[in-house]
Amino acid sequence: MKKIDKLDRYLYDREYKIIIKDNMVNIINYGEIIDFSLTKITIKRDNKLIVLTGKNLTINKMMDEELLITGIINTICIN
Amino acid sequence: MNNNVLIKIEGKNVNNYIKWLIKNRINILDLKVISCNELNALIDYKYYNLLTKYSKTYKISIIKKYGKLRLLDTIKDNLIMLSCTIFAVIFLYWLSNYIFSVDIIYNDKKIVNLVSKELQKYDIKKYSKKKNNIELNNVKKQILKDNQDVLEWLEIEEDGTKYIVRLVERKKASSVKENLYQSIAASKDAIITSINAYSGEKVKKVNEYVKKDEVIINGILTKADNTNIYTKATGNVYGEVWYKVSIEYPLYYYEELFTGKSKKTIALAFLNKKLSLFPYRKYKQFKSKSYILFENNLIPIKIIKERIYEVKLKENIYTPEEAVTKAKTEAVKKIKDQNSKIKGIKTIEVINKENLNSKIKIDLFISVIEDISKIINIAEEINFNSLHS
Repeated sequence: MKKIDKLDRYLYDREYKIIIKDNMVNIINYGEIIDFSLTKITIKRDNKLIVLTGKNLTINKMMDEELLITGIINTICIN
Repeated sequence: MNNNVLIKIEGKNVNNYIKWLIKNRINILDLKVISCNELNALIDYKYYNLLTKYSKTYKISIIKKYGKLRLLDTIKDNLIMLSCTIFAVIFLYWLSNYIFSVDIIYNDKKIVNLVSKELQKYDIKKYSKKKNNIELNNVKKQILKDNQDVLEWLEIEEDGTKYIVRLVERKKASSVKENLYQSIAASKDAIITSINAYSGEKVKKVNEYVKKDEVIINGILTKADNTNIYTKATGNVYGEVWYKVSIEYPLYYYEELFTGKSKKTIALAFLNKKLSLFPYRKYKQFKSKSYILFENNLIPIKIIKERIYEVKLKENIYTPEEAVTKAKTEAVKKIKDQNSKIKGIKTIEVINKENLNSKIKIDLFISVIEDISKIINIAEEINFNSLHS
């Protein structure tokens, strides 16, 4: 099954990434959105929680495996 | 092609609506919150129906469509115009397959009517269907064959929905006018080699030199009492005539003769070498024409389509003496072809010979035996005499 896993990893991008840009955060393979508001967004991935806090937070794009959050981002916490 | 729609969502609290979207995992390509009561979202059209079904407290409207949906909408809005345009194009194309005019360009009405009737026989007339090139050629050939005593040449040219017919009438050779009284004179300067007089008086002898237009067999016979008897002189006169010919002949002769046999093949060309993909029996001597089917700037390999023609090569290297002999033969052949009255060749002398590297240039003096008979009509003389007597 290791070979199948290798092939799967080669073909599909299953890696979890957080890309931080100016006034936006792009999360790839994000998992699930637990909570959403203008000042706080909580995302769950496997056993981890990602908490974003700031002002005027909006989900600009929400696809199956990708999420783009825009607004004034003050903190990003990964627990 | 994507099927995205830009929608406007209006309601009490759009943030709750966003939470609802997140909960239902509806993909959002772009989201803009305009105010607390309004937002614009770009989503896939497949989610739109879902939103309209379950979002009863919020008002959802489409601002803009993208992709295939937009195209379909444009077609729907302009359906009448598009369908009329398509119909018009099809109709014009259909009309263009019919003949609307047949113009026969010639100044003789009889010939024009004749050709018009012939064309109608083969259904080439107004409002009939146009013919393809093969059919037109067959019609032309048949019309010329059926009217070969009237028509020399016929051409049918297609110009849109008009057929332009050009023709040339066959001119009949005017019949030779028979003279009542005639003499036979020399057509060229020559030394007479033989005279065959069937009627008339021989005024010149064999081996006598005559100039052009000098009478040899006279149609006017003078009696002892100086009266003239007019007759129609008939006969043949042969004389020795001289020609000066200048001719150049190559010392190296090369000729390629196509036998008519050819083969088609596809080959791989790598730099200067060719490898045929389909094996075939090669000709001993051949010439080829090739067309490139595929080539790439990065790889020096091309796929080419080749047509190979069988040729027979004729190659000869002549010595100057052989070239002179060949040149003499060639000169004699040309003189005979140009003048059908030449009976035979008497002598060929080389006056001047010049060697020009790859060829020789020679001046020849050729004497031939030729029919120098020329008929002179003596009818006018009689009229003149009778008027004044």
